[in-house]
Amino acid sequence: MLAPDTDLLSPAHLRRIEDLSLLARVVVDGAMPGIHRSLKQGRGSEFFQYRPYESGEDLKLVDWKVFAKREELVTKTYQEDTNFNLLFVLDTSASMGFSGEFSPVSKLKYASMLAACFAYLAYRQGDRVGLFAYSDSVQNWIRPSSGSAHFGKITSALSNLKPAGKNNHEACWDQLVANLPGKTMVVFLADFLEAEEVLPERLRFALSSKYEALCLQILDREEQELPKGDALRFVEMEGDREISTSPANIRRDYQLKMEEFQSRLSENLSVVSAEFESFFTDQDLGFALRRFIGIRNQNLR
Amino acid sequence: MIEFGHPAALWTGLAIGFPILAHMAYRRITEKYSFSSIRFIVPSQIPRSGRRTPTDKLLLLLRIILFVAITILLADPFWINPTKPTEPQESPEVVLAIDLSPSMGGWGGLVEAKEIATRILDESSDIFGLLTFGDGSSQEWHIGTEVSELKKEIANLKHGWRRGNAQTIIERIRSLFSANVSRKQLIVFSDMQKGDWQSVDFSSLVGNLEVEFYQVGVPDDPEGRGDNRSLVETKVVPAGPGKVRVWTIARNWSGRKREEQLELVVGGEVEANQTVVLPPSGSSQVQFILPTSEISQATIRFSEPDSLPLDDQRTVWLKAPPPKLFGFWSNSVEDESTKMERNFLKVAVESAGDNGWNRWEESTENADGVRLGQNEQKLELLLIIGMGAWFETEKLGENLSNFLDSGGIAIMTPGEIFGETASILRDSSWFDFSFVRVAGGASFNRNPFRIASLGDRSRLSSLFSGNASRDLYLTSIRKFGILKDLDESIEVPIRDREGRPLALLREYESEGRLIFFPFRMNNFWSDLPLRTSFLPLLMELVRREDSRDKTWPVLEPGSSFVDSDETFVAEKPGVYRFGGKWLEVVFPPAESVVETLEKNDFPDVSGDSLSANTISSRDLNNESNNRESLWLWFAILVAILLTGEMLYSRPKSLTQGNQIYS
Repeated sequence: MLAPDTDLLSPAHLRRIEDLSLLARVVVDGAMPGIHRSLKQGRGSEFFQYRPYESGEDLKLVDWKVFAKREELVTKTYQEDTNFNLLFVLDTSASMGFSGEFSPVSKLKYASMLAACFAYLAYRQGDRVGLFAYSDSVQNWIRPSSGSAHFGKITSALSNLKPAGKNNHEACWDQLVANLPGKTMVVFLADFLEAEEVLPERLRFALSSKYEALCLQILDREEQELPKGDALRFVEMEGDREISTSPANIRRDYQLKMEEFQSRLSENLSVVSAEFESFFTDQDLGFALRRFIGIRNQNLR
Repeated sequence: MIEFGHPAALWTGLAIGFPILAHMAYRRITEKYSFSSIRFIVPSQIPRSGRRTPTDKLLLLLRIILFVAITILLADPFWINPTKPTEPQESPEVVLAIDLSPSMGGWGGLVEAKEIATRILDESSDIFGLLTFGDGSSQEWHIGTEVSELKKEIANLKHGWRRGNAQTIIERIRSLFSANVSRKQLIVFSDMQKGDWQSVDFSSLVGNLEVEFYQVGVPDDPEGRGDNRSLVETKVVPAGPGKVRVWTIARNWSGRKREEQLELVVGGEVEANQTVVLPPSGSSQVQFILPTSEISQATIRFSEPDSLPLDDQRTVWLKAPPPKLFGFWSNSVEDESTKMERNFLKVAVESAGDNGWNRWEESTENADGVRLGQNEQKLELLLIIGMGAWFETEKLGENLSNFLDSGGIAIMTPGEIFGETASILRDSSWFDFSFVRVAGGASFNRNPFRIASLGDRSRLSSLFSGNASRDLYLTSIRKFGILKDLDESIEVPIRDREGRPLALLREYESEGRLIFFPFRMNNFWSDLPLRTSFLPLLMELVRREDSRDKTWPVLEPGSSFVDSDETFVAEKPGVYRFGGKWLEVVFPPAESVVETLEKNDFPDVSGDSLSANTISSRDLNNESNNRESLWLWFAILVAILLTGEMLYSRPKSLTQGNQIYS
């Protein structure tokens, strides 16, 4: 487990914050100040801040109401839109509700935290943010847009996501790809279990210069290492199959298969130029945020 | 010393226990665990918990003890208190006396008696005989009968229907024992119902006889046998045109109020239901109105049977019983006053019936039959009005005497010439008197007579007792013959206030009765006095001492009904047809009584006839006094062991701290 940058980035602490917009602000502004690129100020539609008037500036920018009250010349700055779409695709199937014995949060909760932080970063950078949540069908689809109200809408939608149903990656992704807006970075937040074959096919759009796909696999530590215990009867969360086994006996074999699965998934994704990263729910959010910022900035260059 | 009520259970317990024990000792512990994907999970050999650690041997030991305890529990363990060894005694002759009265059919009394009697036969090497009693008759199996045969006979015993009579065993028991045997023992199995036992005379039991009582069919419940309720009386009466009313009285024997539902079953189907609230130890009346139909019988019953189901239902006939017949003799050419008198008496007798089916009906045919000398008539009451010369002319004296000798009742009124009537009565030796004169002559006397007070011994005193008698007017009468010099054999049931006879009565050995009113009825003035006084007077004079209403005969099992030359003996409750009669046989009401003798009552019952050492009133609990059941203790032990086993063997928790996985 990687050492956390600060306790503020630990999911065990952050899980107590129910409001995801607040959580995102705490993480981004509190724990990782300066991580995001400075905002591009200009003639956007969203008011950003006041600053002292400097001689030579266009007098249209002066806020005369403030001058009338305080006899001080200040100019309004606006947040300039980047014309860049960021779309979060969240798997909300029942398996995303899994939370191992030692895990602070479920996979879906962790994915929602990450998405909220990413969304906040994007919002602060003037990007347009959208959300596509699905399980057996599309659960929530918010088209990319900008502004604080929209950011609130995104975080509210993330808060209300509940794990249920059996995932239907192919149908939902087909629906998503058919409706992608131009110049979009699609961030997949899912466990991708049993999706290594179907996912690359659906991500062929990432080969286009207009799109970029970032696949963030969220796993629980027990999914990698199996839970402890001499004998357990495993019951499938997205089905009714059951297998009684001894985790101790099959652990090694299981881990090898998981590693093999992940490497195959990574390989398949690289074929379609999709970035792949794997996270565990007990990992702090700092690593994921830095990784996200890196890819985002790289895209802007 | 520990013994078992069902030792065979030890084998079955062990047979079941070992496989279960083995199963539990090696059972797989697989905790259910929800997992996101079981794609890479494969089944594997699961470690057997029974072999994991040495501490599990303790668990195995715990389980062994648990199953041994369960096995012993199933075998009904009890502790026998060691008793002092008794002196070897000569094998006695033992008579098992089993009560078969109907009340033994309730509260499992007979079943319990059979069980104990069989057990005694199994466990003892004495010489046994068997006597059944209580159902009106007794059956005997001599002492020395094979035990197997006795057991078979006991198993086949059924309760009787006749009212119990415990005196039978007292009368029969001596003759069953051998003359020279030194020890005689009588073991009585009975519910000790008070009605059967409280009047039993034990005097003939005095002597060398050990008597042992087993009281059976008495629940341990504080209420005892009080849960019984019964239908004590049920009748059918007409209820207007085309309808009959079936009413019954339901009795509650318990000390608490009960709400019960009664069903009326007609033609095999429940025709009506009624809920009745029965007061504590009281009765309530329930009525059903039914349209008359072709169906001839109905059953009223409680919808839910109780511990004594035998008295929970009554079956009745819906058919009307035959009426009582009366008829007239008079001159073939009736004058006006005779017609009037005839009409008056006809109305009076017809209205004398009750609201039920106890009714009077005029039968001219039967009256004429008697007049012609035919003895096979069913006439009960013959009214001879205006007796005069025509009576002699037709020579009816002999026919009337035959009628009276066959149990008939006749009423006579004088003719227009009182002297003629008096001479006929004297000549026929029916009544011997002389008369002074006829009051009022031939004219109508409109002054009502007031009757004299009736003596205590008068047959009418009970009828007219109380305040009403003071205001009693006989009627407005006419041609009142004032009689004197009455023969001593003549009964004068009523006189006027001046002591003059108003009626003469003569009884016959055949229960026949001849009544002479020395006046003629006058209903011109008003019929009101007739109703209030004369009608009851008339019917009281006509009523037989043993008269019962004319509803269908109701019998108890054991009683008989004689019709012509044939006899019907009632065996079992129900409705029966016998000749032209429709009979009802009812459950003996005394058998519904729930009171039984208490243990302390036995010496009272026996009085001084039995000394204390000859009666050992012992019940089922006596045996359990010597043996103390260990069932409860083993049940507690099993519960403790089971709890320990469950706590000890629960799957190893995968929890850490306060966190619980999945």
